Amino acid sequence: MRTTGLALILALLMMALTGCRVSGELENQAYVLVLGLDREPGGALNLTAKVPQIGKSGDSSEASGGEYLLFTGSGDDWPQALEALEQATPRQMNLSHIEMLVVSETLARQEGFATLANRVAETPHLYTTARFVVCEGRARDFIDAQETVIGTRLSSEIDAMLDHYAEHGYIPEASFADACYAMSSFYADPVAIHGSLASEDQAAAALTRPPEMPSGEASPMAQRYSGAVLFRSGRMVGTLSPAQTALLSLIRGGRIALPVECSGKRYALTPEGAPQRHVLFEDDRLTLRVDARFSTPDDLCDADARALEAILEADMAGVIAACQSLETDPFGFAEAASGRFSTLDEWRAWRWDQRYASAAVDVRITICRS
Amino acid sequence: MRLRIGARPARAAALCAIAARVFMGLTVDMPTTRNGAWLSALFGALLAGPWLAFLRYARARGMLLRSALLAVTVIDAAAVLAALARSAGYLALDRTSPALLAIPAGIALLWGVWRNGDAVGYAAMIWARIALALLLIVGFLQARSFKPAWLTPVLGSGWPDVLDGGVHAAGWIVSASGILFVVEEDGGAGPALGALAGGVGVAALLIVLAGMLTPTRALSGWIIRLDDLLCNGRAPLYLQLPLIALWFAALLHLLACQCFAAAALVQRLTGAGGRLCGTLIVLAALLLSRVGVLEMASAMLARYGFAATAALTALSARRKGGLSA
Repeated sequence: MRTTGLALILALLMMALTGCRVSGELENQAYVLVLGLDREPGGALNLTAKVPQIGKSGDSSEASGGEYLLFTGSGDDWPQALEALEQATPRQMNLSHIEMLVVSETLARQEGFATLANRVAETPHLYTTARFVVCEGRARDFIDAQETVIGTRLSSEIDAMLDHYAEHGYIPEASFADACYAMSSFYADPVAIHGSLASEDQAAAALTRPPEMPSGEASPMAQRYSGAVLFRSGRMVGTLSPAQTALLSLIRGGRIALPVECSGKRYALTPEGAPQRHVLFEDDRLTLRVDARFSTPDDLCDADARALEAILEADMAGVIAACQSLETDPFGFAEAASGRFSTLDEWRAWRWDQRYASAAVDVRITICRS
Repeated sequence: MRLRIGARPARAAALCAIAARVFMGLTVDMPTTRNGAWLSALFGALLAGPWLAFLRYARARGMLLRSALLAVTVIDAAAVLAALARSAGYLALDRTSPALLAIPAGIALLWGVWRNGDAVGYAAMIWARIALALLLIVGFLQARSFKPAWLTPVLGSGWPDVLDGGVHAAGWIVSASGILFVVEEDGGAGPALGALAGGVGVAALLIVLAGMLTPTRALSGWIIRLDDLLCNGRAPLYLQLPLIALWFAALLHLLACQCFAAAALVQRLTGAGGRLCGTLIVLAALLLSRVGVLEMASAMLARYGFAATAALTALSARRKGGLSA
């Protein structure tokens, strides 16, 4: 009994050991919330880190009201740039709480971006579940413009805002880890969230909703997150609009309610379960097939149901065709196809990427009243 | 003090140790593709099963065989201790020396061995229940992230790699099952095979679950593979606590099992005092874990350990007209 008590006391005491050394104190850490990567015109890699100031009253919570600091560092490659960023930061830089990783479009389009992304992902303690954003212009400017709008903390603001956009399908669910997995694995191609800075004129206009969606109120946000960025062989090759992104998310299994207009009436369509992706092999001819069921609470006559089905089928086939033309498979058809092969070598020798681009597309939508 | 352990706690300890060692070996130690790793685990069990059954049935008593088992167990314990220190180094915020990070584990191991075998075995039984609860929490919270499609192509890089993984798995099973041979009760081969089947079954299931969280790809370093396992790109920060607890506690129980088995084997070989043997074994593991060539020795051991011990078993049986002679 005495031994058990002693063991319990020791175990409890151990919980206090994490901050027992000066270097382990919370105030001695610079927690990076957003990390930006830019390629300078001279070829140097530029890193920008957004770090919250610790509350002045001595509490350990993240700063409120825009008390964030920007640190930058440049180098020829990732280790050098990270070292320079470490030097620029007056505390121990801690990458374990990153919420968002922002890469400039210029860098994402460059040869060798996949190698760089993998180097970043392999950095010890870097929290790879962070959202992955590719922005127009410089990542530094994009990060500099970030501030809390509704919430008090940037970390929860980023989470809440991007969850909200993803639930509505304006942006894809895209973590940095998933993008790196897709770049270095043998399955689907990665996607990222598309970000851009709103100009002052745009900021005064409707920004909370993407252009194809019903317009919202004016937003004080300096950035907009809308659409998806597509990659092929580890490099950015194009973008999808928010409406196309919603369909992409649906095909990938997301539960997104779609507003679709038909015969002058607007219907709210809700997916019934995740759409099924199939890859059909017929005499060396490949067909990508999607089966999806939607329901709507609205009154719907048979003619309108068929018309809605035709609209959705055409839209989905259009998104798939757009990606085929870029030879990128963000839908995960490769995952469905690879099951037919017993080894990775057989799978690679079959040249999925080439066959995918010329495959026929067959989308079958069923709409019923809920 | 004679180091002894009952059949039931030994079976529980062996089950936990085999599960932890095979899982760690096939997911973090081996830098090959993962799709076929669960098949490797099953193949390893097929290889090691008959050996384990024969040896348990014959009650390994040959000096040569006990020495070989001792060597295999101590070297692998040192490799696991080095892995534990590296894992602690990965999690530590500052750059503390791995040697210092291994000391708390060494103290815990000493304490475990000093409390004798039943403490080690029953601790493993309690741990198995806690681990199951933690795994259920992790599985439930990550349920949406599992992608069965990532398990295909089923054979990964092909049969040669699956079989190679199986041979390694058999080596790790040998090094983790030493505790079954210091049980003094005559329980026959059944319980040992039960522990083997349970341990490998758990390991294969965990490998499948891990394979559904991260796709097959080539990862260059041990720490990177560990990072990939613990923070699979989908685990929110709060989930890393149960994942890390699972990892460290599993390694500690594996080590306790190996150190106790090694100390008991030394006692059977030399007749020395139990606590002295335990202290010496833990110190030997601590020292060996700091030896630079250990990684190579451990990899060689995993590849050839099973073949070597199986050959020695056959040799001992032939020379003595039976191992229990």
